[in-house]
Amino acid sequence: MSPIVVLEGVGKSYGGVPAVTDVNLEVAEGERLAIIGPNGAGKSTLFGTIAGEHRPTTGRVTFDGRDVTRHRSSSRAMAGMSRTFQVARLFPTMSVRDNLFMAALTGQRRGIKFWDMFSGHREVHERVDRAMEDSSLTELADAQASALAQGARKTLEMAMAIVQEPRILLLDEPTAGMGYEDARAATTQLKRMLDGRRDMTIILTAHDMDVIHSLAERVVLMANGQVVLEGTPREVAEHETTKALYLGHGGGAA
Amino acid sequence: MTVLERLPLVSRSGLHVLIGFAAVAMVMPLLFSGSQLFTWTTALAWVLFATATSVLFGWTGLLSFGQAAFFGMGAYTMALLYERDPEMSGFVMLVVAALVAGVVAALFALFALRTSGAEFAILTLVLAQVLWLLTYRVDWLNGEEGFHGLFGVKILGGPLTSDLQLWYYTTAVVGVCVWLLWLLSRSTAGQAMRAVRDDPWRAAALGIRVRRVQVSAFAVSAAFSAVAGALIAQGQGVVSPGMLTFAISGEILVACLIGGTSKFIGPVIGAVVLIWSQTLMSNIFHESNIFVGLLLLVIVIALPGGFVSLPGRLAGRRRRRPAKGESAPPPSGAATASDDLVEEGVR
Repeated sequence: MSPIVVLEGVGKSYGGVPAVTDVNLEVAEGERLAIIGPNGAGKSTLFGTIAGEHRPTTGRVTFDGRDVTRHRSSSRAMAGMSRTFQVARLFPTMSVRDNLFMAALTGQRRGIKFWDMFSGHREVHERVDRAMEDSSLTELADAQASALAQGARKTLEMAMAIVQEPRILLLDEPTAGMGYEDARAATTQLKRMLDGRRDMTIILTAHDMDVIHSLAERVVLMANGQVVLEGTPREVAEHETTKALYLGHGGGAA
Repeated sequence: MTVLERLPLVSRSGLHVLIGFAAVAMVMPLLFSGSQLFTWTTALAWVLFATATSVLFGWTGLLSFGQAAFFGMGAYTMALLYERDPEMSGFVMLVVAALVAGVVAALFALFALRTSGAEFAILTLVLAQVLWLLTYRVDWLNGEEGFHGLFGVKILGGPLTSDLQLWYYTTAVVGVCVWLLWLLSRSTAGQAMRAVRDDPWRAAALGIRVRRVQVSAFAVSAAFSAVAGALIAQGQGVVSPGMLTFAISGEILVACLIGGTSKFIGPVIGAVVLIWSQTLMSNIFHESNIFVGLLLLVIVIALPGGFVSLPGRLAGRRRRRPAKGESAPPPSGAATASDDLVEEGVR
């Protein structure tokens, strides 16, 4: 399998303080990779350099054979990268349906046009309907996004990312801010939404070992801005380094 | 209008907007004449100005304190064209005015949108103030004197010779322009503007080019504001630096706030209310600004979403205790738009 995302010597510092240093990482097409690590390990920063939110200070990010290091988020999205945020970002004044419509429309790389009527696009609307069924949001179709509960906000954002049919799906802490039971339900829901999309590459960051066990095939563990361990979820979870890191920092659900 | 709107052909093409304007065009002359009809003519030009401003302020969430720049630019473009060639068709002048303002706005926005929020608002104010100053400093703009005699602009072969002709002409132009803006509001581009206002980060993450959408909104808003300015110039026959003042930029935002920007018709209502209250109050008390200020104060405090939020509020009051799990409708429109201005734009 050819790599779809390649990071070469990626580093990012804020005002001289390094958050990530010299990370080399290859993600194969169709792979499901989790980036884990204690708070401050640099996983969010690394995730941001892949999504286009942060520009790395050193190194190179390649997506599908093209150097995208200097590309903005919108260009990366159009090239087939969709993402969620730790705290779900939605269009608050739009309905659930319209949120999904914007995602489905832009995901088709159709672009935005003055003469292109919103009410057309029957097949986009059909995809939106299916996406709402897959994510159990059909009942909330006409609710304004700002009125949704926390769990539904996360689900909607994931549905928006998935309905874009991206080549690579970036999930930033998919269960962040949820209680134990909500997180379990959200994980099950997410697995269901990803059913039959084995070709979609996924990179996610997570604290929650349960999410990692159910979604990831490979895990990279970060500490102090560097990758310190790689392996299957089981290998990494049981490794001494992981235990030391998480216990040492006194946090994390691992 | 709402019944018409349910018919698929009508709702797709916005025919109800055109039918609405045609109806207004025919009914008003039966009810009003002379100076009252002229006030309606002015109000309609302001309807276009307010709707155009709402593209930027309401839909895209960008606050501009310099809309007068484009309003005035339209008027001055028409005056200069008329001076050069009095035989030129007024419709051609309107198109040129729109293009000039649209291009200037796009160039300005490319530069100004490197900032956001308050800084952007200040830059728009600076643009309008600079243009205002130029009318005094540049000889061929005639300073305080401005331009006169724009009654003579030829429409369909000859100048408009009565208040009634001016009325029909203005409603036709405003009707078509507002219809075009209505189509824009229902287009994917219109929806993208709302997306950018709601959350520029989310919009960019979906693949929407935030800056491009904002620049387009600015240009469209400017182009239609220029048409409104040219219509005013034609109706009053006069173009003067007064059209470029901050008072105009402020008043058009007031019109948007009074009407509310969460619905397309909000600025339409706001403009009519503003122009009529100004006219009536200055006729009665020889002073209108205090009254308009009080009206704005009452609206902002008692009805933050403007007049268009009134039906929703009344409905909300009727079902005071919402069913379990149901939440109150979130605030929308102007209030939301200004919230977003606080948010940092996408670099």
